[in-house]
Amino acid sequence: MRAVTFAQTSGSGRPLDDSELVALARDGDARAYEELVRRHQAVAFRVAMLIAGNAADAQDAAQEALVKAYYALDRFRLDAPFRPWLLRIVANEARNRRRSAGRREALELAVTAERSSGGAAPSPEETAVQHEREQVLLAALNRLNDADRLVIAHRYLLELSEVETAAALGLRTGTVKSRLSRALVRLRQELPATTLGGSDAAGVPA
Amino acid sequence: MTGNGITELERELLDLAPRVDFAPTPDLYAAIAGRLGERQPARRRTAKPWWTARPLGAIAASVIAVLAVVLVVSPGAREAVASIFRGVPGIRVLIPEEKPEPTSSPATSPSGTTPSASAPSPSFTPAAAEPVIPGTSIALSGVAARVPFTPRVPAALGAPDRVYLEPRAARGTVTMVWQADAALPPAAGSVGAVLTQFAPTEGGDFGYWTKSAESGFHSSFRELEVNGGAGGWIEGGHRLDFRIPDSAGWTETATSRIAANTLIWVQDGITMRLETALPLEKALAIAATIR
Repeated sequence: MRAVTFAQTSGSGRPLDDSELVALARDGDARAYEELVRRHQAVAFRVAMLIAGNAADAQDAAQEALVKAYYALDRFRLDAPFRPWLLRIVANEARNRRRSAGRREALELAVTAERSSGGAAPSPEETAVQHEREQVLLAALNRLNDADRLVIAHRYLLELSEVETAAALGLRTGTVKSRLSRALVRLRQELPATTLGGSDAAGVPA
Repeated sequence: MTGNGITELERELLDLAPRVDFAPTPDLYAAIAGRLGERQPARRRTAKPWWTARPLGAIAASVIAVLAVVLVVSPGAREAVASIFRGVPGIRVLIPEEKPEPTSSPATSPSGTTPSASAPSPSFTPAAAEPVIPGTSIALSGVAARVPFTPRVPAALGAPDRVYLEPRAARGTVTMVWQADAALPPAAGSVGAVLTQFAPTEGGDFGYWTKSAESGFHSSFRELEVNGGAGGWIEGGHRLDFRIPDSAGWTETATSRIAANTLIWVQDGITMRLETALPLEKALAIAATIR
């Protein structure tokens, strides 16, 4: 069970899907655009966070991108998925902000203190073990270079599709695939051999 | 490196996803709402707000056999969607900005027969390329076991020349293809008829974009009843998108092509789509032999 889920269309029911909302927003229906923003603002903000490196710049970038997207809706192809299109604009804004600020530091990934509810509460020992594993994995991730870290974070931590990852990083889908597999190899090399998912996966408890 | 190790690592990363500490998402819409009000998009029209959209099933029932919308989009026109027909589950017909043009199809009688329906749309030339059919080829005898419904064969067309199954869409989408012959003019390439069937779910969604801007085709859409079920008729070349959800649940367009005259309807809970170069009454006659 994912604690973080992003907006999904609810199928044949009443909620309109993205392209329908875009069509209405194009015609000046502000409520339709509001609905689109609400569906995608969480993922838009997180993409901006990963790229811009801090919350303040991420918020500025995401807002600027959402305004630009609104006035660019005429250029959106209704047969294409909306989210990759939006994320491309958001990511561009975030990159611009980072570049103009001359920042170099990357977003330091960390885990939240609170644990998602659901299922039986783990014992303190289990919690401690899992927490340690998470720390090891995040530390390894934070040691990767920007390109590797970003492709892994977009694909797995934001759970974007390859198409969406490609849009956010300004890459071709094929490049995302190859970069991702190389980044995973390097991440594995960063992990201690005994860690789950480390370079020696043998003997790992199921 | 083993594929196993990668998979394990990927799973761990995905487990980590909900635990990563991103700053809480601010209310971005509230922050930009004022700026959206600064100016409206260039062209405003009296669009019906989406939250008041009426269930289209009811509309379908009330305008049976009446021409609902005739649309002709001039080349280069902005591709704004004026309305959306969803009377047939799993199919969306996006109807562009209306520009009524009573050219070659003047009067429309309430009975649903129009002069233009008696012949293939004159503006439509079948695509030279063979149509890309979603799925892979399968024997007709084997397909029923693979889908949650019984695929039907129109007696008027006889056994199909080829059958395709796309298992990812709507838990199984079946498409039957008949080659063109003397009685069946080509609709696309050497194909005379394409019949697609599926039990609609939220996954298997065809999209139709009836328009003419890029192709110079004129197309029209009307709602009508087919074999007692809700249906519609798209006459003339129009773009057909076939979408399937990817593993992440996001819908991606699998195929997109210009389609010929198309009858869509729902029959016994199965969504049917029959594409030919035939006029409406002949398409209806074929549909009537599906039992």
